[in-house]
Amino acid sequence: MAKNFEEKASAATKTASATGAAAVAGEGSGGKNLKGNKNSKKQVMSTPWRMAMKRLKRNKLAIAGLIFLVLMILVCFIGPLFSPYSMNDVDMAAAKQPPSAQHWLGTDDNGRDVLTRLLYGGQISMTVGLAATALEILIGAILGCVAAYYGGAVDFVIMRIVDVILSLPTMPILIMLSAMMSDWKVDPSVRVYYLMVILASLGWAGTCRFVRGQVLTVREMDYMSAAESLGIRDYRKIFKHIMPNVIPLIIVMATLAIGDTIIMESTMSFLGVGVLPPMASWGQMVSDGNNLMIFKLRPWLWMPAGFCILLTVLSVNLVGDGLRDALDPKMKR
Amino acid sequence: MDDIILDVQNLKKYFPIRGGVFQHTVGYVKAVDGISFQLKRGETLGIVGESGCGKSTAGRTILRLHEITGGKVLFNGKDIAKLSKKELRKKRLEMQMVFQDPYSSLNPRMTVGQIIGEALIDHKLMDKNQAKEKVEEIMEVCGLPSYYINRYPHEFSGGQRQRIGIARALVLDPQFVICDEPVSALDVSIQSQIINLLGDLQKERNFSYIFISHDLSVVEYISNRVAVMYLGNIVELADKNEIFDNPLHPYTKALMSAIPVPDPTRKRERIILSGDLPSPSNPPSGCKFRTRCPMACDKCAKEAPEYRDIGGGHFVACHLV
Repeated sequence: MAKNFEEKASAATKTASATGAAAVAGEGSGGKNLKGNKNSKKQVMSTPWRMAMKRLKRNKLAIAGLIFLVLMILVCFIGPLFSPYSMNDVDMAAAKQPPSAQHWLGTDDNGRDVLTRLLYGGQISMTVGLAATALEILIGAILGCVAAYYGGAVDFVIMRIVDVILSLPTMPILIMLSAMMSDWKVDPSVRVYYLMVILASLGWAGTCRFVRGQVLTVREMDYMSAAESLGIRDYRKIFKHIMPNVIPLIIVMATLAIGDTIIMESTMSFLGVGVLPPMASWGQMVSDGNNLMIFKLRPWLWMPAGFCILLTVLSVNLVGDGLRDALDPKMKR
Repeated sequence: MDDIILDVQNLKKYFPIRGGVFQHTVGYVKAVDGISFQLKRGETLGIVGESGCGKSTAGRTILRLHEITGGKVLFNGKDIAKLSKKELRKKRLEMQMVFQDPYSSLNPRMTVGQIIGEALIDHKLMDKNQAKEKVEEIMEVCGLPSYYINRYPHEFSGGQRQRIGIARALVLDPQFVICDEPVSALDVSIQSQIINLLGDLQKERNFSYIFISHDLSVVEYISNRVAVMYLGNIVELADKNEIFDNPLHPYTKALMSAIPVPDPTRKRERIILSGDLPSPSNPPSGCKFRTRCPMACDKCAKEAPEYRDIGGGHFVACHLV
């Protein structure tokens, strides 16, 4: 939806720059306008999305975060292809090795290559973070829009459900559900998917409340009254007026939520209730540091994973902050 | 009588006040409490009144942007209040509105062309190319160069934005337009441009205006007739000259005395009203103005004055007239 809008907007501006340049030149105020290119460049920048991109590009921290994230994703998803080891290659003969040319980050108690597991763990942690957030935003945004747009009893019911979910203590519930999954002997590779659904179903309430608030704000704007008085159809009001004005804020919210979800997954995996072995995840690798000997003597087992979590979440938050400043300058400081 | 385009009869708009756990109605804000007037084709009716007297609500309720609580709005003889959603959508083409705030009334994520032309396309009145031509034509009419068509609202000044709002209202060739304080957010120099534009357009296209404003000089300039509202009621309605030269209702007199006179030697009698506007959720008994009226008597507290024609189309609601 957002992308489609952007494409259209940019197409529209291209024609604008052409006619605009011609018309201004025609008026004889061509002084500023000797270079047609310069003028059209300025024109292209003026759609709301282009302006946001321009502001984002100026934010060095956000760009640094974005570059780091892209690198992290590339390394985690492409890196393992070049590794001679696989996630669960148990090689007892090579167990407990320090970093070396063969095993850059050494091996764990079962002789698995730590770097390879770190990369696979990154895949899982980031996938869980992204997928759970996407699901959470999808549920939250749809229910939030519905609640705000229809109001009345629908709104009342949805918002009371939100209130209930927000007053549930997340961690005990997650531990409980996890214990239930262990009891049902859910396969660890399937469990990852359940985990996404559980994280999303506990996380959508905040999004829902936020989106509802935003839609209510937009709905009260005069341009919505204008659309009503022009007799614009409902679907057009929703998709042409409300959505384009709410989506930028949802994008910001979603980005910042990814960081939270990664932390949540890591915390659960650290506690042994999230992603379970033989699947790898960053939080789970950090939990190796629970063993005092490993903590002191073999920091390569848990430190890299800890730094991966830290840097990834930090970059996500930097990008999120940058997006917020870029998309909604009013919210800036 | 067929030159009467709009006949508003005892129009009411109450907003429920909700309270308690289950959001039940505990009272009403009587924003518009039974107003009646008629609007002729090609005429401009000014509505004045202080903040919160219900003039904007009246405008919006006439267009059914708010659901109508009671009374009738006959537009060309058809009651707007009884139209189905589908019929209303068609009727909306003939009645339009220009909004007060030129900033919040334009969607920041649509181009000027999309804003003005949206209704043409949504109502399938014409295809995209025709719509574009029509939009460019109306932009020129409203004093906007047509090459601005692909720009976004944030690139325009307040006055230009208001022109966009006017163009949006006029592109459908409506029969009457409600202008809800269209100039109060603008500089004085821009105000006159916009008011002249509205006047010129009216001469050209012969539609009717309801012009809502708190600025008496603006209303005096543009209107044929003027209605004065107080706390949800029209207290006086007459021809412009009649009401400015010979105001009868004490509230109108007080309003008129507040108009500055550009002559330092002339002494004017200023009627200063004491007290605040009473709450429209709990208006005074009898005549609503009695709490602030310098001439209030016992009768005013007991019964509400009838809104009646005292001759020559001069309507007034006061016991003392």
